[in-house]
Amino acid sequence: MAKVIVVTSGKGGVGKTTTSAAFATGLALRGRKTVVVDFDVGLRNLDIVMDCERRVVYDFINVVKREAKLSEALIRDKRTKNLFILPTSQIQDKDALTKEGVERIIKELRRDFDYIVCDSPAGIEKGALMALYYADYAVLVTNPEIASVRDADRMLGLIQSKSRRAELGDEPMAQRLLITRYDAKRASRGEMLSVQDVEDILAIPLLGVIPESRSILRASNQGIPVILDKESDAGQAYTDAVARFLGGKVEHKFVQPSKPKFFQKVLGAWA
Amino acid sequence: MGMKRIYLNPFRSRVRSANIAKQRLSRIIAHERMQKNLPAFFPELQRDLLTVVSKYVDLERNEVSVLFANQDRRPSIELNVTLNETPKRKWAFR
Repeated sequence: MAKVIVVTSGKGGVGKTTTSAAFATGLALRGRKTVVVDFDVGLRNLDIVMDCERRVVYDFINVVKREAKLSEALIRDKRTKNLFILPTSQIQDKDALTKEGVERIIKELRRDFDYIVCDSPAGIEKGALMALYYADYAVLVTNPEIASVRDADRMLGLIQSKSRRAELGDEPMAQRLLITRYDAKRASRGEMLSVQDVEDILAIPLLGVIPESRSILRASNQGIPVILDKESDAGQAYTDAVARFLGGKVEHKFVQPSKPKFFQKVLGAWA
Repeated sequence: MGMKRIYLNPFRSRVRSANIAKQRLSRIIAHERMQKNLPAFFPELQRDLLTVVSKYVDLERNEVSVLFANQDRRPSIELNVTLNETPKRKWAFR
């Protein structure tokens, strides 16, 4: 049975697109046929994060409007097997995404794929509501920062009231927390909300903690999902989050500050 | 003078700011979750109740509130009237 995953947050700039790209790539690496869909109509960015912007001919909106077939709009990822991208349009048209159109496409995607990852736009407007409407599973991305956590809570409310599952009275959508840009050192000093603080407030199970990392910008600069950077802390954290999603029991790394090794301490004295 | 300024400046204070953040967030979110469960008729009921109460009590000088509460999953509506003013006329007691 195919599963629809929405990557959402409410607040902008917390790492939804980075997470969507990494998560979808991670699922494909584990052998699951996966498509990642950009719901941010007018401000498409998934294509450059995945380095396929020059290959976009038709997009999601063309398919909604029946101007193109789904197979013509899907882009096969050049790096990862089993991975496809459905880019969105750059034309700003508030009514471009219709419930009927989105439903038709999700239905069609469910037939061909194991996982459909929906990259939600920020905010609580139509695009964000459309992205979560058909989802079976929500990845709630939040930074350990008050505005982001507050918006995440609003988003949880919308998932519980505005999703298809909620409207039909079906089994509620699974909701998991993904904390990004986490600095364990600052949290341990009481300068930043800790993982426990955010868990206490939002009260949903933790899927992963992605550390604040230079590797994120390095990856997006090059258009490579950070999960492919196996050496990086953020890449490892995403790999672990995908493993947990697929049912594996993996300990959370990067929650406690790492103890500097002796030679690092010595180097640190000069830095 | 230098020391004093350092302690008064919240950006330089030694207080753990994460604790403040958590307290503020908990309060905000508890309030916002409550708003979400507000029945659709609540604003109208609130206005009607205040209109009725104002016929007998000066709203400016007394504390009157109509609140929606949701404790232990049991929604309730609270009307609180605290009388501060000494009545101009003596209230008639039966």
